[in-house]
Parts: sequence; structure tokens; C-alpha cells
Amino acid sequence: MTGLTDRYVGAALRSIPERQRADIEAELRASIGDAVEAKVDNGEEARSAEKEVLTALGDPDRLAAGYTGRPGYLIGPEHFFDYKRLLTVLLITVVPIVMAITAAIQVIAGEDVGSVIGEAIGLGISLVVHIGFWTTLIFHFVERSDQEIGAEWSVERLPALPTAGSIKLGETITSVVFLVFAITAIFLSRNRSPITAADGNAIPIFAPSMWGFWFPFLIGVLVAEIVFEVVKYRVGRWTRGLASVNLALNVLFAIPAVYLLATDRMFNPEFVAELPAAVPDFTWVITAAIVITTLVDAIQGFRRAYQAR
Amino acid sequence: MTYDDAQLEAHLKELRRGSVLLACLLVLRTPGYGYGLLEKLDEAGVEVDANTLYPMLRRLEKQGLLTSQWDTDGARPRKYYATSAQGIELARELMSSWLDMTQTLEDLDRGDS
Repeated sequence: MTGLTDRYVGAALRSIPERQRADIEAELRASIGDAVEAKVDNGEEARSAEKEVLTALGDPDRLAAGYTGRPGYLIGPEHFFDYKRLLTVLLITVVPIVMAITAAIQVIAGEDVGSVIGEAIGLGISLVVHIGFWTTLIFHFVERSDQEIGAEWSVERLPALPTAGSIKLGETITSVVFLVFAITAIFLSRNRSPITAADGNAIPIFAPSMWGFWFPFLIGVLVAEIVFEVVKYRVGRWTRGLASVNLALNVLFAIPAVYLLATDRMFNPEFVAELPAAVPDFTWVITAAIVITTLVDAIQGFRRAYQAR
Repeated sequence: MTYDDAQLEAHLKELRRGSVLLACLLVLRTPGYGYGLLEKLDEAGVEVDANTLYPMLRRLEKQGLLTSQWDTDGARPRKYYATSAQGIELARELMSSWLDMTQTLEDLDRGDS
């Protein structure tokens, strides 16, 4: 047998699980061999017969997908519209808002307008790439896990009519994406900052001492919130138990955050010192925002648990 | 002309989809191997592509509708498939549905449904 068959079989086997490989390989080689032989017996030349047989078998990846039963798509029609909607919303909200805030901080800090615009564009591009990638990845996992659960449908599996208490997939994914962004932002803030010192090093916005205990703790709470979002989606609706956990997680985040803000331990004094005098003390604004969102979110949980009954 | 060849081809493909499985189960009551089955189906007028048939044989085997056995005596080792008892039962069931469907379509065609 010439190299073409070997290459074809090699390409087809690539994506087939190890334990099935030997068997499928032997069978595939036999089938190709039989088909080529039949053509040669008909008076065709061996090389062109092989080429024809392989061409008729088609794309080896597609053949492999037939063997493994894996679909040839990342996100199926079931989730595509949710995916598209969420991606659009994230791109048209998160990207311009983050770009505008970062640019505003830099302008206030007195950086040159040209470089501010340049950096904002760079930041925008990397945000687009990240949002696109992570959203697609999350939806792909949802797609895969749906297939593994299996589509044994029955009337009992009909989703409840959407009420104020039920959890929508888009809602869950939006929350998870925002939490992932928050965690990423905290990590990035360690050596990236809108303000740089005279020696060219970034001045982190948060106090370096935060990394001793508080950031690991707060990141832990955010990860717990991601787990909570997934569990909540699985349960399908708000319950009193979920609302209590939600309250606990909110408190675990808000109390340390407010304490750190109130005692001036959250922000890097060097960063604050770089801000021009015209910038008011924004600690109170942030504190108020944290307290209000925590209260609203915690109460919302109980309210929706009550409505879902 | 109200439809083109591509359209006809697409609809025929749709129509034939279920018949290939039934044809396999019927033919493999006598054990056969991949390419041999492809030939037999082709001669019988069942149009199916190799890249559809081969994965399908494995799926049917996994479902217990076919059994398989390697024959390493010949010049080329071949995997022989045969319809299992369960497969024969399923084939019978499908066959009677197929005939019912033919009857129904004929009735509809004549307009006395």
C-alpha cells in the first residue's frame, strides 16, 4: 500500500479515542484495501484507484466524527441564539465601558492624550478577543454537557414557564462571565495599571499588602460565587436555601471589602498620591456602591425564591 | 420543471435515510464485511456512501443489533458483521412499518384516505 492510505488512516484516527483505534484502523484499512482491489480488478491503475477510493471516503475528520458520534460544531442550534445575544450584549456594553473608564483615569492622571487613545484601542481589542473566547468556551461546555446528559425527553422534563423565580441560562452565563472578568482584573491589577511611575513601572491600583490575605480570600469568595451560579442553574429556580447561600456569599465579600475601604487598606497609597488633587475621595462612592448592590442582590434572591414557590 | 436536480437529490437522501439501516439489518442476516456489504447494497439499488455505512455498522454493533467477528484467515483480516437476534426482531418491526407506510402513501396518492 502506498503512502496515501497511511496518511488518510492516520488523519482519521487522530481524533478517535485510543481504545477504539486499533480496531477501527484494521477495519478501515481492510475496507480501503477491498475497494482499491475491486477497482484494480476492473483494470484501473493502482495509484489512481487508491486516490479515487480515498476521495469517495471524503474528509477523514468527518469520517472520524461519524465513528465517535461527536458533532461537527461548537455550539448547536439549541444554544446558538442565546450565545449570539449574550456575546452581542457583552461586546457592546463591557468593551466601551471599560475602555472609557480606563481612558478617563489616565486622562485624570495627566497622561498624554495620544497614548491614552492608543492604549484604549489596544485594551479594546484584547477585551473583544477575551470576551469572544470565554463566552464561546462556556457555551461549548454547556453544549457538551447537554449531550452527555442525553436527550431522553418526556413531558416531565418540560421547563417550567419562566416566572420571576426561574433561572435563565443567559443570566447564569452573564454572571459567570462577569465573575471571571472580576477575578482576571484583580490578577492583572498586580502588574498592570493605568498609571506608571517615573521609572516606567506600573503603580498598582490596589495596595500590595492585599495579596497577603485579603485578595486570596476575596478571589476565593468570587470562585465560590461561580460555583453557586452553576448550582443555581442546575436547581433551575431560586429557593430559600439558595437565597441564604447568596446572602452569605454577598456578606463574605461585602464586609471585608467595606472594612478594607474604611481603614484605607484597599488602595495603594502611591496610586492615590499620583491622582491630581482635583479628584475627590472616591472611597465613599465605592463603599456605598458595594453596600447597595449587596443589599439589592441579597434581597432579590429572597424575593425571587418567594415568587418561585 | 418545478424542481432542480439538487433539490431532488436532497429530498431523496432524506427519504432514503432510514432505509439504509433496515437494508443493512436484512442483508447481514448472512454475515458480511464492510466493503462486501457496500457492494451488495449498491447492486441491490440501495445508495449509500462508504463514509456513512462504516460508522453506522459500528453504531449498530454498539446497540447490540449486529454482532462482529474478526476473520484473520484470508489474505486481508476482515471484520464480519451479522445481524443479532435483537436486530432481526427490529428489522421485522421496521419492515412491517415500512410496508404500512407504503400502503398509506398509496392510499393518499389515490385520494381515498
